[in-house]
Amino acid sequence: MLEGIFSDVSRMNKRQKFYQALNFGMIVSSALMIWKGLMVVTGSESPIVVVLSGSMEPAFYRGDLLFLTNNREDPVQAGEILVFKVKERDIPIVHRVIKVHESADGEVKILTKGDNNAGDDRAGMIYAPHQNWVTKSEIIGRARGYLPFVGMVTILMNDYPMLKYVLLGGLAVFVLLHRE
Amino acid sequence: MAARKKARRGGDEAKAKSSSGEDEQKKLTINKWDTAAVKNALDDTAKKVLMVNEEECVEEFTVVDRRLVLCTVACGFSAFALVYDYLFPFPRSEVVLAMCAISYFILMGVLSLYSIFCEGSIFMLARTTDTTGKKPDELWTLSSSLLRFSHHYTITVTYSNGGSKAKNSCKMEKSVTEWFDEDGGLVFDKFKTDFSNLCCDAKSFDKTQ
Repeated sequence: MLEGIFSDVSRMNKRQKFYQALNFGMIVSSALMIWKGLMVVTGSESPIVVVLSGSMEPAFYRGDLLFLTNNREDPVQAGEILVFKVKERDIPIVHRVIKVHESADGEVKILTKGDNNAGDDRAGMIYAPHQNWVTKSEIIGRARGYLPFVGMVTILMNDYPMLKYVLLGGLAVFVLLHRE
Repeated sequence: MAARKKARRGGDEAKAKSSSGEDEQKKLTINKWDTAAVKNALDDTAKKVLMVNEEECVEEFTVVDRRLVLCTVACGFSAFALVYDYLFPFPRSEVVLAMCAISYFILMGVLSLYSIFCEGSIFMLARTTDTTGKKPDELWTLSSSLLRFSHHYTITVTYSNGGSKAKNSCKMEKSVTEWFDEDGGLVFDKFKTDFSNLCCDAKSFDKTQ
């Protein structure tokens, strides 16, 4: 099979080789444009996230895929499931809103708690030091739907980076060398 | 006796020459179970045979170039969106991202339509231009198909002589087993004969009109 692939590649002219590279580029571009398009449509900088911990069980389990929207005009209400990013931490948090304070000038302060956690996020040291509330600017979006288990692939690839390189590298090599 | 020895030596020399000629034409071996590889091997060989038979023929790349330009522009939009979003993070880049995404998908649609209606199953265009300018251009169009789980390879040669505007198409449909051995090696001479006859039919039909 390898011989066949290399014989195919060796018979290609410059244009065909360029088209193979473009093919790979178009696959990557399609995924990228779908992602950016979703960002625009949902208004969220990360329209799809994976649940990484069990702090929201039994609503969401580790490995569930969440679909977010971020309509900034929509008021935040207690009971909603919020996805937010704390300062100085890269990983977004998926927790439920338990308290909302709105002041007359439009400033909103939100307190969150994981369903499966004993205390709220303030007590659980989820927030940054000296932070007591989540503000609107830290919100990535609100969960509108989910797919169970699908996100486990992402978790596995994060836990075992070699798997990520092998899978993605293998796919890239296959697309580049296989002639349609 | 000396004459017989000389004839035998001459014969041996001729055999050595022809076998080295065959060695030069290195046998093309592919994975016989891969439909795409089989079709590509036959298409590439057809291209080679046509270029050898019609010495003044030059391959035309306009159809391929148009597709390459479409793909490159589409990838360009995507790369621009990526860079712009990196320099001006979302939501500042919202409008640009929206425009790039829409443009990209429109271009993908155009590319699909172009592929279906303009390109079709054509894999080669070749033109013979008369340097003196007296004879009209000859245009060869080769197209082929080999369905995924089928062994029937169909190749169509369309010949058009610029003078008479008529186009002549000749089709050949045969099983790929006629040209490949058990190991997936292409029997070049057999395919060359069949394809050359097809080209002759296409060209000679025009002369009789």
